Amino acid sequence: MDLHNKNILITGASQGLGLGLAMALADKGANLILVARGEAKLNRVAEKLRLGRPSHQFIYGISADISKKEAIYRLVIRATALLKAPLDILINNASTLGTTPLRLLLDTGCEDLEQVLQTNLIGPHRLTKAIVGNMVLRKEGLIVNISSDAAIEAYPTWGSYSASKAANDHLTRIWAAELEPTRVRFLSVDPGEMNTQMHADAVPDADPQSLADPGQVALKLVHLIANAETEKNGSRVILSKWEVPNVASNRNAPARSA
Amino acid sequence: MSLQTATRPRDRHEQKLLVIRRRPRVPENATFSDLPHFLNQGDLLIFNDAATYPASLKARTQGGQSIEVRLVAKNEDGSWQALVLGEGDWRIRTEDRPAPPRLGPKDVLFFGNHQSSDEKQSGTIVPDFALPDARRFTASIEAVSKFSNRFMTLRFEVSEQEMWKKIFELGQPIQYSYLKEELSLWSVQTLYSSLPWASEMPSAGRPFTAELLIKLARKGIEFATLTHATGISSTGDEALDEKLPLNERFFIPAKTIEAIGKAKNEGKRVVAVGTSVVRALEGCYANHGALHEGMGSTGIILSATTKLCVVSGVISGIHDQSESHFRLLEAFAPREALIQAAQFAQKYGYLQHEFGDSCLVLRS
Repeated sequence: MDLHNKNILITGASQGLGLGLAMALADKGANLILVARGEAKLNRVAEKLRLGRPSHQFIYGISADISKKEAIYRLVIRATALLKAPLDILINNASTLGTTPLRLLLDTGCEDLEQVLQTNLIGPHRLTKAIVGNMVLRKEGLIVNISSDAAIEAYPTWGSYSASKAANDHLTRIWAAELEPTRVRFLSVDPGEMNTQMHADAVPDADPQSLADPGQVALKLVHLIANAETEKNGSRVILSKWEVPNVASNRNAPARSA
Repeated sequence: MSLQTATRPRDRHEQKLLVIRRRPRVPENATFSDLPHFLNQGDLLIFNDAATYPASLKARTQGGQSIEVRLVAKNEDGSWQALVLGEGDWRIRTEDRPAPPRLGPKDVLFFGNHQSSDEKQSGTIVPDFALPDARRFTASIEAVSKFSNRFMTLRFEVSEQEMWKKIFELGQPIQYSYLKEELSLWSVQTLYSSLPWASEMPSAGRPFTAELLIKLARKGIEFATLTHATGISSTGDEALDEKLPLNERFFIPAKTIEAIGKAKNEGKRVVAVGTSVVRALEGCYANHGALHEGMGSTGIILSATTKLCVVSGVISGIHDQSESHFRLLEAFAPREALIQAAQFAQKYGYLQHEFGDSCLVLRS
């Protein structure tokens, strides 16, 4: 898929992986709606990303708290108003750890779990619901849910976050199974450990040198998004193990001589 | 004879479908989820994917009077056609709402809060003219309709980005006085809504569920979309209501033109989901003598004398005989058949208006 002129909404876009994705997708010529809670920071990011780009490439920030039901349609409809076109790709990237430092489940408030599920599971689900119906009629579209290895592994103290990510991975598979006849595609992606604020909040004593740069991870993830049709619909991709498909192996490309 | 009105949105899974066809000559009573049964493989359903924006905004005049501004349609140049109503809320029928105070070109309307949260605590009210720039959201009136002093062109004095931000912050969906509860923004969206062009929900599409769309797709029924700026259903001003529907803009994607061509070539039906889709397609055809992709606008009025060139069927709401909507369906079926259908609808307890049951009228 050529990402040029594609209309993409990214949540959690003012820092970390979301910011990296915004930069990489802007470089591909995509039109972007960047979403985050903090308005001032988001506007600075959007402004910086617009610098030096053609005026017909739309890059806008919309501040919204996706854990709030009332915010969802206001966000999605405002996004299409600004883009003057339907959305082609949704990247559910925003998520929260809940209260840090992380605690054992027995020490975690249920309200804390609830709040993590609102932001990491219900919010992305509502966004998907608000966006995917139009994709069904147009028979195209891609939803990317950012996952974590915590969705698979049972790391002590990561309960709320892990449960939200595991549930989201499973919803991704079910969305894909239910909408199989419509050509709308779903992927969940484990981007691996990155040097982000979120990681520092969760593991304050980690050595930043041992962690991947979110900008680099974003570049690879954008490759994956451009090649999403090569992945099984609804599958969970571990980005570090994913290989950029060899162009020569593409049936449409001329064969390369040995 | 009159039909009962749906006073709360009909549950999508309980939606009834009244089917009017040439054969059998009698109306048929079905549920909306039976729709695939009445269509054939290759038939094309065309949906209006306009999202409903929060078109109703509270405002004040320079004299401090409270008014409600309904943003009916956005013009090409960024200004808005707006209906302005006097004081009162949605529980009062539009036709019973007082007219706004006399307004004229260059008058300014003020939107949003007088008070910040601090001022609220201390009880301070800052007059509109003294509001700091950051809290000012105003529109100036450019023209007032010669037909009605409720209808005007106004322009928000900010960038488009800022304008949408404020509309989504301050606006509420237009409400219906016959409903029991206030509608939220998400309850006035179809499953597939996209661009905010509709001041009121394109309600014919409301009963479509994902389950139904997939059932239709599995049967080989094709989908296409267009976007039509559905305007308001009622202005509360007779002189103005007579002018409805006003000129409305639409956008038809190239893919949709292709899909219609394919269906026509193969002798399949083109079924419009909503009369707004009929207006866009037949209006476009009337403008050019053929379908053209892209933007257009139409003021076409459908009636018994309309020769339909594109559309062979329509899915629509149930409406009373006295309404313009009924006359419009005469483009699809003879009057006697529609009257018979209306009696049938009453007998079987069909509910009417935007949030009620549906009908499918097929010419072939």
